[in-house]
Amino acid sequence: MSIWRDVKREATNPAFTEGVRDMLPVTPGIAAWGITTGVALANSGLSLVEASAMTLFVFAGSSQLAATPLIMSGAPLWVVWLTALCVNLRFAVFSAHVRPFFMRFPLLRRTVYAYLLTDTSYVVFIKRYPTVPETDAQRAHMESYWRALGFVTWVAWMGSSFLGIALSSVIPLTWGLSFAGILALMGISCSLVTTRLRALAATLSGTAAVMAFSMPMKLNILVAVGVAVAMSVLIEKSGRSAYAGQDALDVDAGDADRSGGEKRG
Amino acid sequence: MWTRVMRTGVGEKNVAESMQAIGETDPWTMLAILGLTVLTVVTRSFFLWSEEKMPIPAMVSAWLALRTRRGDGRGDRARNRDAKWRAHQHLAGRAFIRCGRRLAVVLYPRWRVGTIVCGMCVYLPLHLLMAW
Repeated sequence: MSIWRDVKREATNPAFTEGVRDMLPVTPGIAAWGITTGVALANSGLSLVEASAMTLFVFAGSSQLAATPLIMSGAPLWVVWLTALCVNLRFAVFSAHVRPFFMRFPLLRRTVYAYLLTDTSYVVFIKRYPTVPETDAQRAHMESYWRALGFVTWVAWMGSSFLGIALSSVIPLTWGLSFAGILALMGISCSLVTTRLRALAATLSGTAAVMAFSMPMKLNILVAVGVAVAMSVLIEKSGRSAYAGQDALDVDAGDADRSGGEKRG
Repeated sequence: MWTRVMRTGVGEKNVAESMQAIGETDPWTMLAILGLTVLTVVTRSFFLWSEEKMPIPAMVSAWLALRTRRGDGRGDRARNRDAKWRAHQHLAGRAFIRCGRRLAVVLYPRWRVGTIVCGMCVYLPLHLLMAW
């Protein structure tokens, strides 16, 4: 009963409801993406148990979609896992970013919280929390807020994925529902382009991803991440600034020769 | 090489066959799924496991410009540079950023759902009728 009371208290917590409210507009995108993934898994040839296990445990749409055709074509395990790793590498970057936010929690709890770290919940979270909270009250608010984001994401994803599996024979993949998921991510990604360096990184990674599209194992994503990070680092270094962003592309008169030399060299 | 046995998926079967498919669970596939689960957990909590101070994540987040806010922790030098930058602003760059900001302002807070609805309204006819 006490668990029930805890759940009730959390559900009426203003921080939690705020999180739910912030997450709801993105939910249609998650749901569309989930339905698509469910349909794709069921139609790929995975058995009901396999498709359900993958949905329940893997909880990462893009890596599920990338890995399933490889599993079905009988690719070696290392290829399946390497592909999923490439697709998942962005999460390691996210985890680096949320580290100062989560390190106050015990290991198990932060691992569980990190498990709920999806593209959408991450973006909504860093929009709400651009800086690490300092007081205990703020931290408690942040934790409840994060739980709400994770909760909505998880429920939306699981519900829609299983709906997709159940309706796989009715919903054809040709409807292009997955595009709705891409649109949802596009919307929130654009909202993150707030500095020159971010705009540049987004353009570079987008261009690289499209140009390298024909690479196997979804390596174009890895190439895109690599190109964007490398170029951003180079540009930032040439600006000799500890702060990326607004002042990163700007070079002091005194720095100009130096950085010019570095670039040529 | 030991890989999974080829067969059709649940989506192409009737209910009775789908029930039968429960028994067809392939250990190799389950192993692959287990590995994928581990990968999800490991990548998402990669920088959260070590208790030690990590200089890299700070660099990574700075590199990726994830935590940039104007005004905090910036010295006179940075402000001077800002002023200089503003003095010879790159027109193309500024227009680009403006575009991005405007898009962001329009797309995110107000039309977060609208993005999806409008996008699908454009995409679906193209996709279904013109087979894009």
